[in-house]
Amino acid sequence: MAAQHGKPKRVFLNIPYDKKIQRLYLAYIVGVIELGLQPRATLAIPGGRARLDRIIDLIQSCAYSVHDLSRVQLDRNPPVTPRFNMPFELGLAVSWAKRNPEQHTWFVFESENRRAQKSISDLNGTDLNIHDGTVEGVMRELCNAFVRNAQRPSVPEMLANYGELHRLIPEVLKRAGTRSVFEARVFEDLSVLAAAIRSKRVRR
Amino acid sequence: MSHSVKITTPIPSPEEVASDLGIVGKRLDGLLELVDGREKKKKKKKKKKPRP
Repeated sequence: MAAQHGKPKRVFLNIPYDKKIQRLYLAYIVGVIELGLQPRATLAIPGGRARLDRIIDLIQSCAYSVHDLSRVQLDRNPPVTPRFNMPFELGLAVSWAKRNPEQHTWFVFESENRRAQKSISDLNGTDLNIHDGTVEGVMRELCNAFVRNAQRPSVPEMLANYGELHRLIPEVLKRAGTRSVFEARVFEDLSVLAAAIRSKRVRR
Repeated sequence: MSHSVKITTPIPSPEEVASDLGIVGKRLDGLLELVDGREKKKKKKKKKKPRP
């Protein structure tokens, strides 16, 4: 699929679905929406044989991708394993961008400086966006990665949107009949709500 | 890769974000009410008359 032209561009969010960093997940959704872009994630893609093809299609439908490598620790649920999905999907995006540099740009986000250079040394020489593991850091680095000349939101405005969206989570989960924010419907609802909160602020 | 890209596309409305995700109809209306509804509730509280 070709990247979009003339309309808001999509951002593939390759981020960990981990309850411990739920706040960063929310920050990415809010930040991308605030910057006038459309977030996308693999949450809507079911498992099975076609999953990989659909992930590749999803990456190729997005003009940009953000790959958060901050959760590189072992997943302690048995069997104990490292998390390979995020670096794997980063590799898919890098490969696509290498062959189609006009259609895709990728960014690597990390919480700690220099750690990615150790865990994935092939990235040496690449500028990483270090968010310090904080919501504010994610907002700051998204603003550094995606620069708007007009209608540029400030980080405090983005944080206010985050706070308002965070308060709506119980109602969103209730409506979706789930306890987890890491589900396709919840991701979509949060994206629309973040856009509505932004729109309400701009109307004032 | 590139440390930054310039974004020149317009900011999409909530309806445009929803449309791109395939969200329409009552589900969209419900979400928009969730944001605007909270605002209305807050305003109602302010209108309470003081006790005689």
